[in-house]
Amino acid sequence: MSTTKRLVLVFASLSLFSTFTFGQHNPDGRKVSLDCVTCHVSWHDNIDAEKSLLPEIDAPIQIQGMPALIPTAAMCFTCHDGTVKDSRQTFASSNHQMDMDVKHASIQDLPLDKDGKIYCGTCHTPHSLKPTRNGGLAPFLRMEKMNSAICLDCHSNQAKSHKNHPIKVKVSPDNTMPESTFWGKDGTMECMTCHPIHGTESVVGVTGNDRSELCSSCHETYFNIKLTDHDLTSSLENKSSDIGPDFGGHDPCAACHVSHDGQAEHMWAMEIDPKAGENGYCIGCHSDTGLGQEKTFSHTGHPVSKIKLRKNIPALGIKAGDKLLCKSCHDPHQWEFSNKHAVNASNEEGTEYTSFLRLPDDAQGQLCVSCHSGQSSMFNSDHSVTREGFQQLFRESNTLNGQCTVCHGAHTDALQGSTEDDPYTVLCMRCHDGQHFATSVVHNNHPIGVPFESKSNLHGYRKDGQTLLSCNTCHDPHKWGKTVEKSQTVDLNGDDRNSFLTISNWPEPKLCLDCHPEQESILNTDHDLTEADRSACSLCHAPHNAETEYGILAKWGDAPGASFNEKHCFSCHSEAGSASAKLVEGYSHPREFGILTPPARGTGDWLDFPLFTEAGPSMTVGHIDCFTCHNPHSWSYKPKFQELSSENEEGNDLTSFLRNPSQLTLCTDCHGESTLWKYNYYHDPVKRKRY
Amino acid sequence: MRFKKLLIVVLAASFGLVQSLIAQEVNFSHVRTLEADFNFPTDLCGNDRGDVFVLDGMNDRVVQLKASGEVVEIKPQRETIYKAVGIAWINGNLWIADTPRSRLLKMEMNGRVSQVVPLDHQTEPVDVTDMGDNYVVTDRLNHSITVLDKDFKEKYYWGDRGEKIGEFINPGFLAPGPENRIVIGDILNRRVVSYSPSGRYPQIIAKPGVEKGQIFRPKGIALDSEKRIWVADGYTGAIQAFSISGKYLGIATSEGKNLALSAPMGVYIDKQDRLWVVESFASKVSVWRIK
Repeated sequence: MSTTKRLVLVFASLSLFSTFTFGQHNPDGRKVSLDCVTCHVSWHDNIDAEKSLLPEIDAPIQIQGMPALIPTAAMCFTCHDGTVKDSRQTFASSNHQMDMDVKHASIQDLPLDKDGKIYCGTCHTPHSLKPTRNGGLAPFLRMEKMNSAICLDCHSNQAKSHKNHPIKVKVSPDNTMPESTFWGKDGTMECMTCHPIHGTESVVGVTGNDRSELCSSCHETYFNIKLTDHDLTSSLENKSSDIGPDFGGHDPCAACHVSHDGQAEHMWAMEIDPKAGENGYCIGCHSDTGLGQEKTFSHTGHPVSKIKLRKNIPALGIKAGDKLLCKSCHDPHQWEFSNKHAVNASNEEGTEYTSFLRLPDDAQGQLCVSCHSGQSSMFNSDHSVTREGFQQLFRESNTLNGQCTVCHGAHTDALQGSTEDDPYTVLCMRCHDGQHFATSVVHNNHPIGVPFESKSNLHGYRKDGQTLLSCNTCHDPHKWGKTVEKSQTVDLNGDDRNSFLTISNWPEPKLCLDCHPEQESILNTDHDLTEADRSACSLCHAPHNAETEYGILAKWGDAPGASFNEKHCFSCHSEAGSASAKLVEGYSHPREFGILTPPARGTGDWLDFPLFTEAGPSMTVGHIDCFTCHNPHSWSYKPKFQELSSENEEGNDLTSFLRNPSQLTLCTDCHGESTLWKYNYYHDPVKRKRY
Repeated sequence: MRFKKLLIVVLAASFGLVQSLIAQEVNFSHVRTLEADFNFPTDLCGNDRGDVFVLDGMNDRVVQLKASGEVVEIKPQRETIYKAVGIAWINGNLWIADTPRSRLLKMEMNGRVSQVVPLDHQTEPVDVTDMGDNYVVTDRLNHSITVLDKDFKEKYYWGDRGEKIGEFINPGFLAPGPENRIVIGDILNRRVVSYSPSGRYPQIIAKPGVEKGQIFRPKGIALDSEKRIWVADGYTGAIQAFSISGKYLGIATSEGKNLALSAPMGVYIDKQDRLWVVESFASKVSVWRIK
């Protein structure tokens, strides 16, 4: 070969060098197919900088801050501009668009553009196999779309806790989400259910003032909140708060809830006091300074939080062991329990049927008896608000009350809130005042407001560390009668078997004896006049509307006698009376001579020798009356003689219901040696005058 | 003899290399930029009156840029052209390659769609042009070229998916070239090829690459008055000229720099030798005078 030929060959080889050695290698130095540079244009070898047309936009993509020779979004668009595939909608979409900052997400091993922002390749790669192939992921995603894996790789914090909307939960098939909505397995919720990322239609409700529209697709029933006081966009329109968003929009959900990163559970938008627990969501507004201060929660009302329910209450969605909370009774999204009465405007005053109650306090007292089922027997009694008397009262006062709320205010406790000493009396006397109902108790009642000792720990009202007697000591307004279960809806004159007594007073007068055990000695004596509907006590005593305040003695009509004790005794011990076999022929004692009582004399207790005036018992000077010598409750002052040997046993000086032995009386002060004679023949007008 | 053959091969191979060394720069001057609220427009065409029509498919419309400077929106009546890609002025009519709906539409200036031409084989037409009495359509789904007669009956088609000569990987925009040739951008094969009207005698005009005289993403194609074939590169943003024989004629420059447009797609050269180009990613149309 000549030198010329050799030179030509060398020249030609050098000329072709660039052409034939032009190839492509990946960043690891491995030679790759020409197909690779279809996208990985920077993998071209030996590109002449002078001739290169590569744009500056081919700045390196980063993976965890390190440069990576991965195509940019501009490369993606060269195919996805419609000529190969059409992804222009995605590029145009504002949903999860490129150039998004990643400050709210923790990127893990995913590429970002040269500015550290997301781009197509952050989530997508053409190297993901087609979904029809094993391991393929649609649409060319780097991770699985199901279970929101691709989303959670960055937004791991936005699915944690109840501060975010839950995912992987089953959604009602009645939802109204668009047909194109992405659902997880078995129709469960995924991130992309609400965030379609590159949806072909603009996404409604993820941002802006119409988020509630998206919420309504699945939570339609919650939209009964519209126009209620809990629709803050309506009730607090034009107001704002430093604890939550503005309320000037049209987004009732977003006023209280945010889909992600809530201030508390339930995706709560507002700050709440963590110490308040679950009720904090309510109290946050219903406090003295809160947005709902016009309906401030009162701690004097029905107790919450401290009570654990002991049984399931399906009607309220409560399980045994749950704490009683505001939401136990209230559904904050529904003004009226069955949406029968659609609210027309905010700030409407609530009733027993509305007020966000889960159940109404209607004629069946549905809400309250869900837990207090034992009180339901009241609804057929005289205390039922369905009675015409109540209805008339409501009509006159232009009010409406439920079975329970007529007496109970869940948040404004009528009892504890009363300024009176005895709130129970105040409450009862609202009706039993002699004006509204026949069963008034305005005269000569059993004393109230006094301390008492009860074997059964009967209730009363507390004052100064003491439990004082009140209406509720003897009466339970929820139970007409324990021995006669069936109550009536008429104005019954009660007896010892019913009358809303806390303890049955028949056949034994257990209620009376609960506080007056010493009077039990009357039982089985000739004074035990227990009848079919009346106990031993009730013949002589009437706890309400008695003839006398002292002793609450029952009425005796036209019985003879000068004092009320005499009239009382002679109503039986008379010829027409039930004790006609024991008539008292003589009994009066000169009343012009005043007698000092034992306390006044300093010689003992008043009951040793009780004296009376016309007005009643006297602690100082009085006159002798039946009760001065006789204790009608005890056959004998000696316990061993108190039980009668037979019915109508004849009495003697140890029995005969005598209060004390004669030597303990004061008679000798005036009668000296004739005292015994006069004492023995006190009821014999002839004999007692011999001395 | 063997040496002579080798010499011929070497010299022929060297030809391209030498050719690149003498490539010219063609100075472009910017005329104007139009932003009529476009949303990723794709293609444009013009008529003899000097009106230019921009296909703004994502907005489901055509924007008419009148010679007078007036901008008119043409919305299709009782039809949609959403996501259509190609547009052409053929025999005095406006034709749209309605890509996703596999059809060609003839649209009147008032938006009325006066003719609908459904295409067989699930063709997804990217662009359409005329060649004599025929209509030529590129098909992104079947990677082929379809020729329709004047009555829109399919006459024949050619091409299949592949890298060989005569095959395509996503043929895109096309234009009638000199010498009764049809010039087609073979997008993912990264080349520009010309064919006879019957689809025969393929010839590569621009080869793959990212240097001057090479093409990476061939998009819009148009002829100027000097029969130079201008090709837009959708990735590099360059506008380069080639002869029908494949000779590299130069690159568009402005103010001493190569033009680097934002994802250029369809191009159109009017009678004044002004090059109109859709910059899709920037949602605008820019106009350049070729000096």
